[in-house]
Amino acid sequence: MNHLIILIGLATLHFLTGYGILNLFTIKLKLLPRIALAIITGILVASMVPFLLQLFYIPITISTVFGTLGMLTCLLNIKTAIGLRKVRPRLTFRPRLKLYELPAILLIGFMLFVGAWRCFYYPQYTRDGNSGPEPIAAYAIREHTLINSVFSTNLESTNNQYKSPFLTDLQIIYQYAGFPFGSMWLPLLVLCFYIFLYHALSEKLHPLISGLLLVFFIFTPEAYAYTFLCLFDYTNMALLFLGFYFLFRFFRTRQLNEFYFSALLMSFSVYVRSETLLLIAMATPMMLYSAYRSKEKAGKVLLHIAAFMLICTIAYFLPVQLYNNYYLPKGLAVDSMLNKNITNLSPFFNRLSDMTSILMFGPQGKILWGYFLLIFMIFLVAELIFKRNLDKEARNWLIAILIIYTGLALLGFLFPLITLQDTTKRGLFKLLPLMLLFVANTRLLAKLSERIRKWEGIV
Amino acid sequence: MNAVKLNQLLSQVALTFIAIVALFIFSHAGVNKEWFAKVVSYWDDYQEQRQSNKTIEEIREERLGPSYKISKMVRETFEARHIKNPVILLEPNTYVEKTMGGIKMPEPIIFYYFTGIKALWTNSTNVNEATHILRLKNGQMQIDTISSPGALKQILNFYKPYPQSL
Repeated sequence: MNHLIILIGLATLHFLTGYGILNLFTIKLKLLPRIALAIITGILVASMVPFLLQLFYIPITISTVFGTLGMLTCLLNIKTAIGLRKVRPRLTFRPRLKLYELPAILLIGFMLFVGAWRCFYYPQYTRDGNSGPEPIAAYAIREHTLINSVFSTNLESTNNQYKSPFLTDLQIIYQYAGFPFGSMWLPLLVLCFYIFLYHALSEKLHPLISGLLLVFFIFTPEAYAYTFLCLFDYTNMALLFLGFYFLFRFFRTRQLNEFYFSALLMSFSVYVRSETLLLIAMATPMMLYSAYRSKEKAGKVLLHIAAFMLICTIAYFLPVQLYNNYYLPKGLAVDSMLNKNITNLSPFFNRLSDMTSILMFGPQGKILWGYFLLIFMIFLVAELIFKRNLDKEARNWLIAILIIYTGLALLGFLFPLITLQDTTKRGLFKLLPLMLLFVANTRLLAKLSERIRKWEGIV
Repeated sequence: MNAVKLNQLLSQVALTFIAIVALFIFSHAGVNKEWFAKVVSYWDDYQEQRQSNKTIEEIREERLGPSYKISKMVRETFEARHIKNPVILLEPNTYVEKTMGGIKMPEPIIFYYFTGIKALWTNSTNVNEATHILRLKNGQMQIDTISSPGALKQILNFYKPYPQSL
């Protein structure tokens, strides 16, 4: 019970932090997805606090961490407070849950709950966690610094100490808050992500179909496992998806606040997994094409895209270049990990082929992703056969899928240390929500939704 | 209740039925069936774990397995012997696999996480800093002092045919 109260308290804190950011960017959403997105954003801000304290050599203690977090929350909400003075918010919430939404929601709720319990009850036991972020977090609590005695041990068997401070920071915060194993931020993030996805799906589809699609998405065993195994990939997937979601919203609305909010979310995803920067860079032609279609001035467009990439690059530079090389006892030379034989492209095509034939559509694919990839392929083919061309929104999601698909192979080519069965496999998570949104934007499902709505009204 | 509202209610009930049937079929189809049964078994775990009075330490032992228990025993041994700042040489996993199948020695960083004691592998560049060796023999744990550089050399030669692995 105590832990539940603590979790609600932390969720409220994250919400307030994130709410301030959403207000700064004037992001308009319905109430539930707004709350969900605010919490996700708040978690990401929190995940930077011990890291920022470390950058300024401020001791990491319960008071400095929560004090900084509280101060940040206040600063981020100055605009909110000013807004409250001018206009009193009307908090009207009319739940419009229909009976037929319940089966999917209950099933999802069940799966979320059992995963959350495992997160709460067990310590983390993944090798990647225990050979880097977990011990650094445990000793940071004792020694009040991220650069602690863990770095005096022999680290030749691992490079996980160089991974983003994201995971370490959240483990510290949640252990300070009173959780024995500190992983409860993950189910909170997953819950909010599901809420947001359900909202995104329901923008176009009948809620019955949204619920079913979300269940199909959750029935991907490999990704589901990472809703209670605390690593970087699930969060990275969620943030990159949210980044694309707001980028595509910007393509429709041309509202710059959405463009820069997308940049913020994508920079968070870079902070969580640094190599995501390359995937985002690969999305810049999409931004250019969208600007070209809307006949905007080239100079202005290039400036905004440069600013977008700069925001994401800062999220790469701080933990990877600055922190790893100038703060940690032994730096990490990223260039030393680069493929030396860049002219030989066969590893790129081999990786692409292995990803497709082994990880995605081979026998292992079914174990990893259940029937989700098959569902995606069926809808893609059906849409092309029956509707001939794709909806503009669906096309955007498909391009994003192609970017990630080729980008993962490119990363495997550029960095031979990126193994097929570990990093690339988990990197494929990033495809899943994009595929889900592609399916949701097919004309076939739009038509089916329309028919259900009509039938629902006139039976 | 007018006819329109009744019809809407009926259509909602029909859609609910469709949702239940679709979810049931999907969760029991092919590979989903076995996997979903595993997820359902987590509920049984939850009920059992909620009732249990296990301490945090016992939960750790349960989850992290033999390598955690061995690491803990090493720490207790050193505490009992009042030995300060030991550096433990760990046997290669390929050797441990051969002698004590099913058990893995943790990496130095994980050993430190579990115990607060520094450890080394036989192929570590600073292997000459090792002060003790942890041996697993016939289901027993044995900690020996490495008395001299010569003794260390002998030990390393013994493990040479066994490469390190995670």
